[in-house]
Amino acid sequence: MPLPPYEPVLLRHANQPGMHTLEAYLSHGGYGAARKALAMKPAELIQLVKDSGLRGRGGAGFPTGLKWSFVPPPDRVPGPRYLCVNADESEPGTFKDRYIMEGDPHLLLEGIVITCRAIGANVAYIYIRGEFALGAKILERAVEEAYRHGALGQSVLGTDFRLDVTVHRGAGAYICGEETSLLTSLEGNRGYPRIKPPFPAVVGAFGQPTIINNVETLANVPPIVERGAAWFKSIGPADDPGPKIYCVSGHVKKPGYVEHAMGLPLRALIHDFAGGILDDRPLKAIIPGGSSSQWLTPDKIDTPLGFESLKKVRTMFGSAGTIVMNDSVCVVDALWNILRFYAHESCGQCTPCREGSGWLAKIFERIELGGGREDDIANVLDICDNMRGKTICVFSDATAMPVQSVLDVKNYPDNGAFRAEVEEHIRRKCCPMGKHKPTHVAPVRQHGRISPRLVV
Amino acid sequence: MSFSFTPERRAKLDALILRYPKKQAALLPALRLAEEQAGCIDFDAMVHIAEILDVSPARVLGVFSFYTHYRRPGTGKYLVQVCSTLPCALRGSDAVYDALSSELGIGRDETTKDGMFTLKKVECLASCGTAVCLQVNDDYIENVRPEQVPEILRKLRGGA
Amino acid sequence: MPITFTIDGRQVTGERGETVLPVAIRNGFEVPYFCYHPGLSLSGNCRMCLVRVTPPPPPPPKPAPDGSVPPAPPPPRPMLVIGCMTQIADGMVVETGTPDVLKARQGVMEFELINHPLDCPTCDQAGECYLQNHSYDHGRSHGRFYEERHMKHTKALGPNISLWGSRCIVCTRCVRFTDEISGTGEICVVNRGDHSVVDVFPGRPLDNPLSMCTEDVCPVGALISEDFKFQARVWFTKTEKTLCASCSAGCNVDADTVREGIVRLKPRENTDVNDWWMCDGGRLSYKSQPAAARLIQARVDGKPATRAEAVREAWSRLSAAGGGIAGLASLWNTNEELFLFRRLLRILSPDADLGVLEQAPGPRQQFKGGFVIQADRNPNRGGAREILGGSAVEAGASAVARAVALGKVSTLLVINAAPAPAPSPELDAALEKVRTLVMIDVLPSPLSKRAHILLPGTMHWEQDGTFVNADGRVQRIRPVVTAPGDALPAMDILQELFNQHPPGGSGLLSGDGVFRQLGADVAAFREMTYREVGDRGIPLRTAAAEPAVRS
Repeated sequence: MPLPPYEPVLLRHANQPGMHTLEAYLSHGGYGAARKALAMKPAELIQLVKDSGLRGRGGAGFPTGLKWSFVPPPDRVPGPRYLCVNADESEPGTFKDRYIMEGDPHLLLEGIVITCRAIGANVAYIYIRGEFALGAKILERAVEEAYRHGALGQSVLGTDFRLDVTVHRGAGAYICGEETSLLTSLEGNRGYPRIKPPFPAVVGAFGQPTIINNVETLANVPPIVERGAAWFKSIGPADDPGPKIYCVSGHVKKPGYVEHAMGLPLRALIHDFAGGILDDRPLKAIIPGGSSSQWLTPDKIDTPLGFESLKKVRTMFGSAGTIVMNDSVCVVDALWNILRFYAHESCGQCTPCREGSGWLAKIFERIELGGGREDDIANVLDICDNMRGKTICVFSDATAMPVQSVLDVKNYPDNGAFRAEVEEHIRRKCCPMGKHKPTHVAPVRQHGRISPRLVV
Repeated sequence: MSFSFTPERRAKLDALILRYPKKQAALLPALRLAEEQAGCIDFDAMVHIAEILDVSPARVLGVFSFYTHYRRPGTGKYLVQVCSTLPCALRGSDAVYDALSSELGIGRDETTKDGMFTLKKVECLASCGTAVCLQVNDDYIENVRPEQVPEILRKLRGGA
Repeated sequence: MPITFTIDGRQVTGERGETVLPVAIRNGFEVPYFCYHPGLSLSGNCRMCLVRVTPPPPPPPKPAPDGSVPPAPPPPRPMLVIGCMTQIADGMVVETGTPDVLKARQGVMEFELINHPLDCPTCDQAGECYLQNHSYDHGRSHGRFYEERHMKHTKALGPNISLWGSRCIVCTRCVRFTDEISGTGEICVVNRGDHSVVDVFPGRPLDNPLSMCTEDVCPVGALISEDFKFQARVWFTKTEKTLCASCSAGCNVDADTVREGIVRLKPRENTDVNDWWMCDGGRLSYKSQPAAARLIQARVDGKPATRAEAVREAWSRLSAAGGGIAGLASLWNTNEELFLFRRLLRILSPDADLGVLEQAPGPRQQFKGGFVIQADRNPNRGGAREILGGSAVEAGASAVARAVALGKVSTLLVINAAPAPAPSPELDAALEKVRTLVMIDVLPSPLSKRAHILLPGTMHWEQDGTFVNADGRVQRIRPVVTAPGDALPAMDILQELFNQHPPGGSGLLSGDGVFRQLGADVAAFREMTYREVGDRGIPLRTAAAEPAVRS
């Protein structure tokens, strides 16, 4: 079925070189939406975004307008409000925000102006991951330009609205993409997530009401203001509307990103945009929404990509980072890779996550290297159960979910083939795909071994 | 060897501090400035930053050691970081890493004798669509194939 | 308005703003935890206190303007949440022993232990270790961790504290302690994930006057006191509740002994005095007066004598002195001793000059969390003021020295219970003129060398009694170890002396008996008893306040 034609909204400028300057942005009517928004009442703006049905693009898919409306009125919680832009894009498989920031930074800034107006914030921080040195540089230049142009500063676009924007670079911690962890990191601490409630909308950055929005979410805001909620709702499925940037990586011929309406079928993403499976081999598994989402078998390829549609097949849209794996992939090897990532990135605050993530990685390493044990699968599922829903943030769940989707055939009955492959590893005490040589040596039990000497 | 910011960087930091309601919030940017100035962050720099931001040096150490992207002392002129997370791994990041390792003659987290290169395996660099991705200092090198490794290293050695 | 809710079906109440865990603990429910500490901020990282909470049902919906009643919201679903950070609410239902709670706890226990070295046989924490206790109650009987354990650094963090990193469960209690209570911030968590462990900054050791409290707050054997390391297994120790006498703060302590020797002092919680803390100086004070150096032999004119002989001789010389008598007590003496001392001297001479010996003051130190090390390094100035009179305490030894110098005094009774301070030149000169010096003392000093009659007394951990701290709080000390040799509490010696007085008393009153006599005599102690003072102490009676308990 041919896809309906689609006019890019979010990447309409970003895909053209040279559009990161203010001049170019203005030449396309830039900051028009901001002007319009500054003439509106904050409550009207929040209602507009609520009506549009925009859902957060960072992973959780929370309705954006609703989130904004949680900021308490000043008579209940006095003091400043903050907007924190989550540009810590770090979910493996996701690389969309980077192209907005590098290609069209003023679109993001305009979204920031409108959002700050809506929530009554006069200060915004863009928390960008440390690795994005180029993106940070481009954003800093854009912020400077915007100040000069009067789009930021004491009098935004000639109104009495005041707004300061600061680009804040992280330094290599996946967890800082979690919103409360982003706040602790912004405040100059180890990026430890905080317990909710209180939610950041009430007690956020520096103890004040704070809204944290993803870059792509904010990039959606100026078009909504410009063209209205009805227009936005007309794009894609009614319950989950809007433009969306999809990322596709792994075993496809042309990996990359593409903007389309919400609800793009996986098949269209993989075959029409990404040119099909690498080496024309059979498809083996799809991770639809970044590495923490549950795996899908090839027969789910006609599922539309969206928060609601993917929930129906027991996985999640997350940050729209689709990772495709063809039949050359070893399930255990791939899971080991994912778990190594999570073990490396666990902040180490809550016990189940700190210890569980490392433990799972070690088990999968052992299975892949030929040391599988009969009780491994049962143990892994029990460990996953002990990790899920027991911690401050959902990192622990994110670690356990892909594992459960592969091994827990009770809850994921279609994924039996994945589990069978793990079982084969264990049975044959090696990787049947030959990815790694069986080199596992059981460690000598080390009960009670401590360093005998004090090191001063 | 003691560390202190150059007047320009100190002025930059002082300006940055004003952008946050709490001084400590400037800790991550301050570490970046120190890294920019000295090429790495050592204990002296941490003490200096702690004094400026009115926090204990231990607090700075705790924060520094939490984040993996800061350059540790002993890092070579070029810090070559190979993304090894799934999307890059599926596209052969292990082969790229092996090529780098054998070309440079060093293993993981090691530095060449001439102090030019430090090799690291890192987690996702958010460039999965252009896998395999390397980060060399601040710059991304994308769509890397193992056979391109000698050329990349040659260019870096040549200072290009 | 107290908040009422149920825990395991029992109705309990708490104050607004409280969380589930403290209320549960207060009401005797067993909810295990590691990172929670009532004296520190909440962290919520150990996940051990997970309980099942059903929030209160939402209020029924109000009818809409058109009269229709919207559908009732669904009843709230139970959730597993951590007790330490969940605010209590009216009508909330808390369950602490459901299968999901028990499984979650077992899971957390297992996670805590997978990288733990399990070196209990060589660990000083064994016997008072949260991991051991909780493992016994909530752990699995067998391990299923077949991988290699992480090893972390073992090192000295400071002069008094060592770290066994592999045992650390990263509960951050010690980090919070140095951030919030001592305010010194030496400890941080380094690294990330399961490599996280506490550490100090190189060259900035954990060296503050409260550093050893980090060992108390550490729920496991990660932080170990250098002083107690490898000294004793805690299950062989006997614990007695007493006070630290190093300053006038009167920190409540638990003294642990093994075979009649103190092996450590630990702060005992008393939120009216020292919260959960004490200073390192106080904690190590038990080592400052070695038993080997103590005075253990009664002497008369330099010659050994039995205690009975010495007492008899002392009484005959004291009573022979007529009016020319004065007395010096120490600000380390208990209220009971001061009272008996005063009574004795008043019998001998109604207008005898009284004075005190005191330790030189040190610096007053206040910490971020409010803990104070008092400048006054004497534990009982407050009691001495009430019993001997404010002016006698203010004058120190000078009034007595002056009286001796003027030749008004020929006989001096000195009772002391601490390392005697070097006498002032004024007192030193005066002592030359004293014909009879009767002294109860504990350690050899320039003063005790001059004593004509010397009776060995006891240190404050060898006797019963009460002190009054800087805030005017009356608190108990208790005998922790027995006194060496012939040493006897001054309280008993003074009673023996008093019994020599015609018509002569018989027998000795216990500390409580003397304390009751004191209560009948001195208004500030009106009707007090040891029972009322209890383990936590009570304030001195002010003129206005009525006694809390009428006997």
